[in-house]
Amino acid sequence: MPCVTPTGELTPSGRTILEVLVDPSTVDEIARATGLPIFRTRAALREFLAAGLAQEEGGRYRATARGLERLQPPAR
Amino acid sequence: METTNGATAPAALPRIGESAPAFEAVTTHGVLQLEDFRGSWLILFSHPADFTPVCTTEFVGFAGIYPELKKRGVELLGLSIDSVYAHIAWVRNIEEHFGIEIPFPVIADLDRRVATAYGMVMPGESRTETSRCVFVIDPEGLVRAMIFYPLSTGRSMPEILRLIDALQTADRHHVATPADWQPGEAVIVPAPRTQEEANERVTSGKYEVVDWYLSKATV
Repeated sequence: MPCVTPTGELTPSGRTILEVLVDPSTVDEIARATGLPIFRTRAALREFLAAGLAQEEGGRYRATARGLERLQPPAR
Repeated sequence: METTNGATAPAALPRIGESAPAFEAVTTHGVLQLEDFRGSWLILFSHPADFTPVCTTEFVGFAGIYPELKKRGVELLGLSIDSVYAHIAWVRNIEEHFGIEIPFPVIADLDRRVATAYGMVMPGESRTETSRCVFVIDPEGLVRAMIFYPLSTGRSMPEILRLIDALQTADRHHVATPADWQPGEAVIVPAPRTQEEANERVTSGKYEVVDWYLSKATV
């Protein structure tokens, strides 16, 4: 499923994946942690990279500062 | 290439043993690429149209074998020339009527890019719909088997499972499978390529030998 809605909000599966990316993780680790198939995990990571919400280094993915910000509850 | 029916055909259709055509497509699970499935077996299948009777029975069938496919490391990916909104409405309708969730993504191939690359439209039958095609793609991205059924005939789910079992058994044990083979039954060992091997084959006592070129073994 898409991870970010057309209005820029995280979808439930997007939030689940981004929460795992608080710690640098491989595709396999993310798939195991979320219970999502590998193909969905790869597609989600591609989407996060394009949106600047995650970055990849040496085969491990982690949330960027912008990604971590999206995980915070909205300010009241 | 222009065909006699006036339809556009791809330069080269997929062939067994060759790389499956790459694609990126809008699906009911977001944008997916063929490359996303690397490392898993994949069944890419097309159906003529959403909200049609035979296709509905097939989707119920594919959802039914999905758990068995997952056990074998196989993913499913459907396709038709319909919009993603039509797909969403149809899978929700199937869930309402049959109580079955469609767990796999479905490509919304409105521009026919994937259908054309895989030769799924058979203009002699229909110029606006994909036929009932099945492409089995292995973890390395190679086409390993293809099945083509006409619009009028729903596919056999046990046969698709049997095909996966046969391909995986053949890979694992370097054997072939005979007609109507079922998992657990004897397989065919490769035929000898020299007279010496043929003599060895019939005298070794290791196989169920019908003749030197047809021998079976249990794996």
